[in-house]
Amino acid sequence: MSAVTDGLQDRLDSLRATYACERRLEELLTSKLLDRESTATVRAGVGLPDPQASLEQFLADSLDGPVAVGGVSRLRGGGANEAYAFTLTRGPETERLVLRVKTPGAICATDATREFQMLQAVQGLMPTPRPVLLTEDPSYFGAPAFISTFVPGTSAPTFDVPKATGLGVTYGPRLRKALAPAFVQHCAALHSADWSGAGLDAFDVPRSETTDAIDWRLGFWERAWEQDKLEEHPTMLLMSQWLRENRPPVDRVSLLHGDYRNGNFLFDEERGEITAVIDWELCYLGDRHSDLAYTMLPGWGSVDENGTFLVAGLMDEATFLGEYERISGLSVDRDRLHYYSVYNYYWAVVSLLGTGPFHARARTTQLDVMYNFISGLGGRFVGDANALVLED
Amino acid sequence: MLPAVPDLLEALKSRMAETIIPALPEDAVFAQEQAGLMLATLDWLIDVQADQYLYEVVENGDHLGLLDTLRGIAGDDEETGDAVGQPGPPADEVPVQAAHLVDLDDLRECNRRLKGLTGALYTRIGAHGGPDQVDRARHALAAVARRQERRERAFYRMTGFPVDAEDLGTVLRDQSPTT
Repeated sequence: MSAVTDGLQDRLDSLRATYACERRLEELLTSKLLDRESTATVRAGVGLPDPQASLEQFLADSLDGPVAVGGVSRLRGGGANEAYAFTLTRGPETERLVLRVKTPGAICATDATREFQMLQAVQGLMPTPRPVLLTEDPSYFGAPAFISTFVPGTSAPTFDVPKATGLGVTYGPRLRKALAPAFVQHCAALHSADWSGAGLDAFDVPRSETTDAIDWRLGFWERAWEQDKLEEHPTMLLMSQWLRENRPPVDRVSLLHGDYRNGNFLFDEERGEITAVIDWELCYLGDRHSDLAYTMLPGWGSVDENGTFLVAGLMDEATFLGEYERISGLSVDRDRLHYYSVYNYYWAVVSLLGTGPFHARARTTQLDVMYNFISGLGGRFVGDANALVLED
Repeated sequence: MLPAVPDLLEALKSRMAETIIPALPEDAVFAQEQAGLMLATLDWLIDVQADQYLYEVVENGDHLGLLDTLRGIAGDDEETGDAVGQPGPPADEVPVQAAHLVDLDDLRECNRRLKGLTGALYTRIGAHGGPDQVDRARHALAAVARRQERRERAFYRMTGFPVDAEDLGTVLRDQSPTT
């Protein structure tokens, strides 16, 4: 074993000892670090060189009978997944599908198998893309990937000029009225679902009435920050300390989306109907207040014509929480909302000021300009987090 | 310096907006998104490029001051002092005063090392210090965090994410150690 390898092994041992997190996520962060030491194994430049050929090979190996792939087009955004829409033809049947490939230079490290399993678990709870095929074999697309159905719809109204990745989408009075009830309904259904027997073996299951879930999340994000930060940040030190000192136990372990906000659902603009909740990369098992506090972050919302703040640009806070409690039958604890607001700022800043700029600088992503640009949101979140953590 | 940096950036912005973006195919959605972000980034660069050096000078002053303060806090107690490695990091790791530096890249790297040192010292005080030391360290770090937040809000204002952000030059002149 070379000296460099010994040094890396020491670092890995130290990271594992310091930051306990879920098994698969620990492996994910470890593989990220190892890949950096062996750049020859990382898909250079990012962007599949020939997505059609890769899809044809994978589908021929995975499905019976002849297949044909056409109409391949890369989709916008893609902070965690590179996404390509395509048409699959099998005999007389044609179907529009989406390939999602885990990008080596993603703005946060996420796991294809967890996302695939969560999508399977929530079928029937709400409209989502239906997961079709999964591969953990990087020989096809350079990284783990999965295929899901293509759901028509838009993430922003035609009159809106959204920022990158659908951040800060606004809807206008007609669409707000139409979309808001379903938005809260889907959130409530997710958190109150009985997920026992759901086949979530890619997830470690936290115990209720303990801090397992938040301990593992903090361990994951703290380690990601440690691995990716270009420089230390005083607010990150203060947030980490505060979060460790104030961890609340979870009363009920729920399925969590992890990124439930405006911009992360598709809708039919004419009918005013949510057609799919998308972007499940950050899903996990934990405290519902984590999702709720995230949805309620001021950074996603907007004010209506009367100056009232709208959660996710859709409804006022009292309506959001009141309807959520009524539909889910679950209570909302203001102290835990406060705690998880800080938690959400923490992990968001890890991604926006840590991992994103790291990959932009390392030239391991074609989203380098976007990652640099949305660091501005990280700057905003630092201020928002200071207001919460330094309030005393 | 001719053409001056702002002139170079303005020319890039004009060609991107007037020539390149209109020529992109309608179905090239990924390319269109990237081009739009490049245009917005050029606006951001035009807003902040003149203030880079002063930004790093102010950062240097803040974090040098924080390092001194944290060392003082750690040194109050013999046990904590040992734990944080008193009398401090090796001399060649300690950044020199900004006024002695002329190269922007060197200054930036220097500040990154400095932030790493203050972070490590703060963490060690948290792990090994008494309640009073931990509290004093937290207040010192919080003061630096607030000043850095103000700078960052101004730096990022052209991204559109910070609300009611100030002009960066104004903030830096206000925070500059020479004013």
